[in-house]
Amino acid sequence: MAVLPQLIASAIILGGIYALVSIGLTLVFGVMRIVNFAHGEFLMLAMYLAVGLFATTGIDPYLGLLIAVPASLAFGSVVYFGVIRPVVARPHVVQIFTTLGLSIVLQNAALFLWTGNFRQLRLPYAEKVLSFAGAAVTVPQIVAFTVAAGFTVALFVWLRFTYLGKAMRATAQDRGAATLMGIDTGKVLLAAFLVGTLCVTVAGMLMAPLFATYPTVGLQFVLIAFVVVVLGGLGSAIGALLGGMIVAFIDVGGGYYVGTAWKEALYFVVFIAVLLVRPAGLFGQRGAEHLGA
Amino acid sequence: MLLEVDAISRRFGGLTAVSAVTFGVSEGEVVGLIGPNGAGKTTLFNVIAGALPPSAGRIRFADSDITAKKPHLICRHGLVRTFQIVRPFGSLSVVDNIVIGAFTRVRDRHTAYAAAERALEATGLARWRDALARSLPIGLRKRLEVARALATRPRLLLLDEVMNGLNPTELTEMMALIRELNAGGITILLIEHVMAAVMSLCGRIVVLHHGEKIAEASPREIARDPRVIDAYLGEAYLIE
Amino acid sequence: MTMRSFGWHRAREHLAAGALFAAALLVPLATDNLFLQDATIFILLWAGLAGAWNIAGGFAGQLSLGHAAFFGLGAYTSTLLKIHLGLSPWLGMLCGAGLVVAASGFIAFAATRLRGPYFALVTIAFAAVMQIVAARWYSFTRGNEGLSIPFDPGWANFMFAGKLPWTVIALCYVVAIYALATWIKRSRLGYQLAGMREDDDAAQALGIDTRSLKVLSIAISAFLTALGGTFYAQYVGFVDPTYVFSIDLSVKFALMCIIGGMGTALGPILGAVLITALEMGLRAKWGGGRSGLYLIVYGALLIVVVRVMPEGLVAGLPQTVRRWSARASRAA
Repeated sequence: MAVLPQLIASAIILGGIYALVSIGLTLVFGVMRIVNFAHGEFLMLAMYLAVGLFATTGIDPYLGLLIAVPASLAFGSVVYFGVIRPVVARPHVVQIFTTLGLSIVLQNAALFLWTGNFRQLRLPYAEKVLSFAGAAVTVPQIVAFTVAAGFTVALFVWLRFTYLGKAMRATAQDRGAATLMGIDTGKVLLAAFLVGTLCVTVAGMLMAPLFATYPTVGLQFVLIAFVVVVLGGLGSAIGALLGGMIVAFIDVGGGYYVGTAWKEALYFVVFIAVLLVRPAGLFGQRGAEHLGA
Repeated sequence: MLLEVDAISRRFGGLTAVSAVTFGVSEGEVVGLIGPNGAGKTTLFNVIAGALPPSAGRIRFADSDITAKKPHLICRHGLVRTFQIVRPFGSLSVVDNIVIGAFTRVRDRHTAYAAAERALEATGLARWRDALARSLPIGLRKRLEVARALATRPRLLLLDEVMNGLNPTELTEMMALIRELNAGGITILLIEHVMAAVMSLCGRIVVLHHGEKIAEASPREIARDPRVIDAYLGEAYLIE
Repeated sequence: MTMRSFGWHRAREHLAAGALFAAALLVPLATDNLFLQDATIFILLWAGLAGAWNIAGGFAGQLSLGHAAFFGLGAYTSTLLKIHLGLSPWLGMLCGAGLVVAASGFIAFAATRLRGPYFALVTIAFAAVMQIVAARWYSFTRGNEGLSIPFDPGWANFMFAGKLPWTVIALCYVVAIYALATWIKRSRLGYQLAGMREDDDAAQALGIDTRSLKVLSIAISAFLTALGGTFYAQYVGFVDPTYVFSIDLSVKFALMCIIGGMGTALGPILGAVLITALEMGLRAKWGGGRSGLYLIVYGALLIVVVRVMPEGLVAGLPQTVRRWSARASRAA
């Protein structure tokens, strides 16, 4: 099975990326209890940022992270205060349609500003292929995986050991109790949203050399992010990591054995099955789907 | 025996919240369920009302086995519960809240509204019939909770800390209400921390501690029981 | 909101609805403007579909974002039966609706296990699977090319040359759904749904079988949506998976109800009128090449309206007016 190492390598790399894309979503849901339907659009915007930056100034996405990080924090803050915070305490219908509306606005703003043409960021050194245990990987792939994995681990450590990280986990478990313990939940919610936006922005910058960029690219990946997050458990960073790996393996394996046409249907079926059989996912809080809040 | 709780246990993972509790409630009684916080009282209520299945044991109500039956079926049998933290239908009016309860027994609007009016009168809520449920203060919300349950024509009412958070006037009114309901034929099982209410309303008291039944007797005897005093009451309630 | 609206509140609502219905009927009779006639038929169709969604979403509180699954399934079933078996679309419509009711059992099952955004996600996935299957199963559905219904006018074929019969049928659709919604609101079912919507557990404790209610309301909603799907297929003469199963459609059904007012019978109709008018106006002004613009307004509208007036116009507008006049009289 000569192709197996290649499949595995691709899956691992993809898994790291999926994990990074999904961590933001799971954090926002875990801490804020809001499903951000516009998450994919944040990714899309980051990809356009990478493409635009390279096209106008020749700065590659890795160096461009220095610009992307503050940009994402600024953008995230604007979205948080303008759109998200007003609906944090409102019923589900309001939250769902708010983020859905945001998603529609961002998608079509991109369509309007940059047209529906597919763009591809081609790095000069992207063609170089490295052979590794029987698998061929390109530099952008390796960088993407390394940064994604590193970021995820760093985030995990941060959540575990810093005060803000612990405060976030506390707020995710019981917002009322967290307030009583003196945690400024307003700040925590903002931090969760910003960290989430940051993660997905970094992911987008890393993905721009690997995938085509177009206004609705967010839809494709947000679906994957939802599957990852539901599989891993909404609110769990470790779950996002493992879920990302599992979904990547399904993606690569499914693509190889079933073909890309039906691969998407496979995601949805897995998604529905997990939601119905074990909605809490692997590491999520049991019963969260019943409380919903 | 209207309600028979037979060796009911409920475990949550490693924690045993209720352990082999057995007692009965006869028709027409007012029975109190007391004990320190965490004793398992609300868990027991939840099991009886069908919100939680028991880990062991059986429950019989009016000669049928209702163990682990769904809450709405148990309600239709005539066993109705109120919630410790009240759950009114906030954006509906007081009367509509009660009508929803009434519709469990009747099919048409007219009869349902008539039943709701009666419940409003019985609980003294007539003045607020068209107010939004969420605009009511806690005392009235508690009464609404009772009125709503009343509209389902219960044989046995499970009242979960219905006196919680009431001021002395409201307490007196609620106690009077409970006496009236009982006089009208409704059997009552209540969880309470307000000892004055429990002692004066209940014919019999069951005491839980760490999930186990440690005593079951008349209020007078309970007040003198050293285990109960030790676990919960303290010396202040000794009735001489 | 009181369920027992006073006599004249209800009368006002019925009067408004009646006026809209009459206006709709007048259009094909009074004018030759084909665009207007076409628009009227679409408004009626969307109004009916919004009303259908409202039964599950507004009355029962089950916020589905996958109703396009029912719409598309209805459209495809009657179309496939017509093309492959020559079955009259009227019968095909009933077959489609029946099939959809069976399929809705799945969504209802999800509704009993999941709440809020989790449920919405399953409904989205459900519609997406249908879309993929329809797009990939070329041999059966001709994939993304879609299916065309040959133009063969006649009542038996559910196909007409002039706009009047279409308008009448669409009007019957809307009126029937409006009547159903009105009846439900005042019935035992309506009250129990309201309780379930407000607080599922408390409703159960009061003797309401919320599981059965969810199954029932979703089944009714799905059935009515499928009828609309067949109408669409027959009227437009073409079905393709990209449109009939699209999430845009699903969101539109919900949006119309939210803007108009979810708990009322008139709300969906009002919402349909506004959204369709807005869409057509925006598309006329800004459509064409850079087509994204009108959708940006759409999305922004969604964000604003759902925050400012989540109960919709039918309930929200009178409330806002009352609040302003109260403020004005206090200031005076």
